[in-house]
Amino acid sequence: MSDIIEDYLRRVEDALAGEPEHARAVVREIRAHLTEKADDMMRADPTRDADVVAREVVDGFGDPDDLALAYRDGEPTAVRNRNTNEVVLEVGRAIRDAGKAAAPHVAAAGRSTAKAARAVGRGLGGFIKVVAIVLAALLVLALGAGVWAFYEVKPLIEKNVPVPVFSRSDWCDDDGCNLTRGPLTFYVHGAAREVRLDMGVHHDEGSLGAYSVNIRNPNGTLVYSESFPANATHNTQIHQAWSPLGGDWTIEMEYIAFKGHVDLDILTVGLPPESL
Amino acid sequence: MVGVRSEALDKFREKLDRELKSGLVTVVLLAGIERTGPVYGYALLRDIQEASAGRLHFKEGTAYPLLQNLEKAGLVATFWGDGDAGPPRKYYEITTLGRSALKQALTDWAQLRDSVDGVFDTLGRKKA
Repeated sequence: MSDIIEDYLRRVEDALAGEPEHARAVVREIRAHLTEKADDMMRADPTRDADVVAREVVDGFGDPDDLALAYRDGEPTAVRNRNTNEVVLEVGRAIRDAGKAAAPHVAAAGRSTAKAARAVGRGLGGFIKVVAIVLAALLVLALGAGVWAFYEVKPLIEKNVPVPVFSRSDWCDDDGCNLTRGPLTFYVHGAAREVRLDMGVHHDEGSLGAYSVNIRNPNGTLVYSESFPANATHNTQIHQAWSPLGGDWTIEMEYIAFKGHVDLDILTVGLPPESL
Repeated sequence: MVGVRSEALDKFREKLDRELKSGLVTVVLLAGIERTGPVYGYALLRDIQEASAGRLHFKEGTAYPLLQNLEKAGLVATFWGDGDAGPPRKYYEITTLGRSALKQALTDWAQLRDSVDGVFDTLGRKKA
């Protein structure tokens, strides 16, 4: 690919710094656009200079900083790949947001406490008494802020815990499997934010078999199709995520002389706690 | 003076162009997805360019944040799939909510267009 396009994509990714997973998803989508456009232009006129074409393509796309601003104005949400840090990131953001909302209240309470402490100090003249009162007040404030933050954060935590909607494990031993499972149905709540697939495909050593899976959304659109042929890596982990369509999704799995086992979980994220 | 273009006039035209297109491009994108979806970004923009005979021109990069907004609002759903050639692409597909929103937006647009045309027409007759 042209250095000009790669350089442009680096600038876009840098402009979206702060949300690396979102930046990667954006860059992935834009790369597909820019490369296909450049290819189309070169096909239309193969005599053109590739770098000139690349420059036209990126100029026609727009300034990276403007692009990043446009994404941020819409408060982008990333389609994330599953990783162990994901819930921590969401909890961290939730605590940060709850803390920001609580800060004015905590500050106001702190000022009142300080005022009271000064009055007590002047009136009684006892340094130790003032310190003890201030410390007790700060402890009460901290506990109150913690309890308040917990009730603010709790529904956000609950909302971001993945909920399984389909789970299956198939073992195919010495004789191998030759069968088709499905189409099987699983239901996705319309209020969910995301549908996720976590799949582990484990071929036995020397297995010559194949496994394939197709997933369709309620419109019947094939959103995921993957085949794991013979001689594929022995152990493959797949993580995919899609925007949800509420309704019945279907999944179909096919085993052809397959030896090994497949673990498959489909989860939804983002349901309000009252719908769980 | 006839034929003289001032900087102020150019700035006015740029601002007007931007403001007029601001909401309409989103509706055009949604309509494009409804009519041709599931579709990925580049193909969608290419179809829109062809349908408008090049008259509807905007920086291609502006479309993607708008598509993201549509996804976030639940008006479109997305998935990654194979493109006509090359690496996987992100496909957009309209949702039930999106169809309702599009229907309303097209009704609103038709009413707005008729209202504005009516104003121009009436004011023009008054002047005459």
